[in-house]
Amino acid sequence: MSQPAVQLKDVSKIFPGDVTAVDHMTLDIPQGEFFTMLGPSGCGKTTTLRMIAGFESPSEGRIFIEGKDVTAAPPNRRPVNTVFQNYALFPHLTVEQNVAFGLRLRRVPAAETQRRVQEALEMVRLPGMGKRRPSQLSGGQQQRVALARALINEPEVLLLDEPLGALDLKLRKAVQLELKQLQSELEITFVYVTHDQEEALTMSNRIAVMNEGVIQQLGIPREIYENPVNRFVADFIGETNFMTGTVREAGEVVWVDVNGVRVAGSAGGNSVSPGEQVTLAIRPEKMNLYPPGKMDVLETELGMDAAEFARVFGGQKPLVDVDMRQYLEKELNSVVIPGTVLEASYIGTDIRYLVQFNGGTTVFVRMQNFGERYDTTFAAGDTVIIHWPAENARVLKE
Amino acid sequence: MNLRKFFTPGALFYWLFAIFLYLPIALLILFSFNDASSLHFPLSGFTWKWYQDLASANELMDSARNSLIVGLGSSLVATILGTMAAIAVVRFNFPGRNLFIAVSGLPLVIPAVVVGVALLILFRQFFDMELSLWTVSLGHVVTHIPIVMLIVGARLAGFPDNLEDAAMDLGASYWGAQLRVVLPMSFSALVAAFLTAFTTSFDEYAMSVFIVGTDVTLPVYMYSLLRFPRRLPLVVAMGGLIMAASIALLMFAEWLRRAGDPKNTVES
Repeated sequence: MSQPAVQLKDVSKIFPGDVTAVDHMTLDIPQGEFFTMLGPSGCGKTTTLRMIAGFESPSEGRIFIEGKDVTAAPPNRRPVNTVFQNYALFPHLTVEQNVAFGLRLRRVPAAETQRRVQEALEMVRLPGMGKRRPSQLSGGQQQRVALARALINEPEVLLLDEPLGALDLKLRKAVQLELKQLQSELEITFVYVTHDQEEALTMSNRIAVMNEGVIQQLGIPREIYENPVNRFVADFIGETNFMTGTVREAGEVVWVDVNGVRVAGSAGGNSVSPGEQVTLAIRPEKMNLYPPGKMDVLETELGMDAAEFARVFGGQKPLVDVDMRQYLEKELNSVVIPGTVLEASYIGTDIRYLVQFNGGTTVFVRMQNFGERYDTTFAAGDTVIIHWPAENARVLKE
Repeated sequence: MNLRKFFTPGALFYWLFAIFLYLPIALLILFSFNDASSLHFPLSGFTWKWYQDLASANELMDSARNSLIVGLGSSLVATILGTMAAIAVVRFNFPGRNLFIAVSGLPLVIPAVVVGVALLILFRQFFDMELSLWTVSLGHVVTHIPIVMLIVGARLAGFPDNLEDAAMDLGASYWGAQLRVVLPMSFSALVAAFLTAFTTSFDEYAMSVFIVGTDVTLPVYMYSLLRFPRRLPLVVAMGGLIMAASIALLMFAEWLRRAGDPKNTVES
């Protein structure tokens, strides 16, 4: 197996005034990976990127690019190029001169430079724009010039510092796809910094979620979203409800008492014991709401036909009945809680409900806006059944 | 013309201000063409005589040449030093940076006479230097540096410092980045700073009078001429000439400053 494109070994950065931006980070980024550092501002992601680029030197630790120790190398001696936030195009040069900047410095012959500049501009779909000044281009076009200016030097690693931050939403989504495509075609390692979780999830092979200079979780997008290892990751990526309570039954499925209501989640590798205080995390879209009495919806959920349902539950018993809850809990590891809708907000694609359990705990529930026919919309004040399979929630240690 | 518009408070203030500022200069220009050696109304007639006499006033011309040398030399040195100081202050954070900024602005607010006396003591008592054009030039460098720092510093602060990062990222060394990006982008500010320093130097009297040697600068010589009433029109004519040249230079400097400012760049 080939060596990693970028390697950080126990790297720290402490700024004057004892501000620790990056705290003992160790990281391997394999060749050809689209690697994203994701986190809120001040989490150390940009500092890490700037250390890889050579604009900051680490206070401790070593940095390797393609196996070579570059810790002490200045930016111009590293096989990396950067696409800057706000692009940092040279305003006194034309687009062509901007793109050719790196080749000119390396004394590439004029004819070859000319040819490669045209190729680079075609690659980013800006042919014919070469004679313009950066100030005459739109934000999206400037972003592409910045990309061409970096990629023309054929770097081993391309560093991107929130390159889409200044674009509007529609354009951002389009450029996300283009960038991802470009990366897999060129097979260049991308190290991407963003605070936009959707951007990170869409484009990355792997994501490092960072906070306070430390990688909180490192994994593929699905893992990060589905199995956040701690409260910070769960909260930062997407929306998450947190319920704090006491463990009643430990195991692969953990039952927790939250204000007198029994809820469950998967332990996900955490070992907890009864009596312990834990937090249960569940995303709003991983819960369902049913109107009480409308058994048919839940029937489908349980995989029973009407006859079997009637045999087990004895017909149209109300769902909150103790026997049936026990059955759902014991046999199916399903959580079923009666509650009330406090608030319903219409978001277009979804409807977001603030629901209160009969016990006081409130959670947000997102239901897809599927229309009116199946009675899946509720109004404030409606009584509802909140349901989720235990594995949809995760138990986090405090 | 709409008189109502003409007499709005804003317009009125503007005209009062303009008269207050420019009437003395207008009078100077007016009398420089007046065919009489004393300055009083009524004017007696139009003449180029005083301007023609300037050419043969050797001492006056010598002092003008001295002022040119001092102005060009001190402005050049101050532009180089001031630019370096501006880069240090704008781009780097170092211990004592705030103190440095505060101290470097002082020559702008300390009265020139004080600076003049201080320099006189320094040159004569501590270094035992003969007063000459060199001492005047040194004095002028001191007062020009903050001017250059202000003008060049404002330009440097006006464009993002990651342009230098970008240049280095693309393969330039630190000095390469300064040469290829910072210098071209702030060049017009450097020229503007140089010209502003030069005009300041050319006019400087209060400090220079303490530290000139036998070779005097133009303002110092002109002031000494005031003792001879018959030569007064010559001073007035010289004043008119300097005024015209100064205005031309300052307008050029201001035009350069605007032309190079990325915020004002309007692309066609």
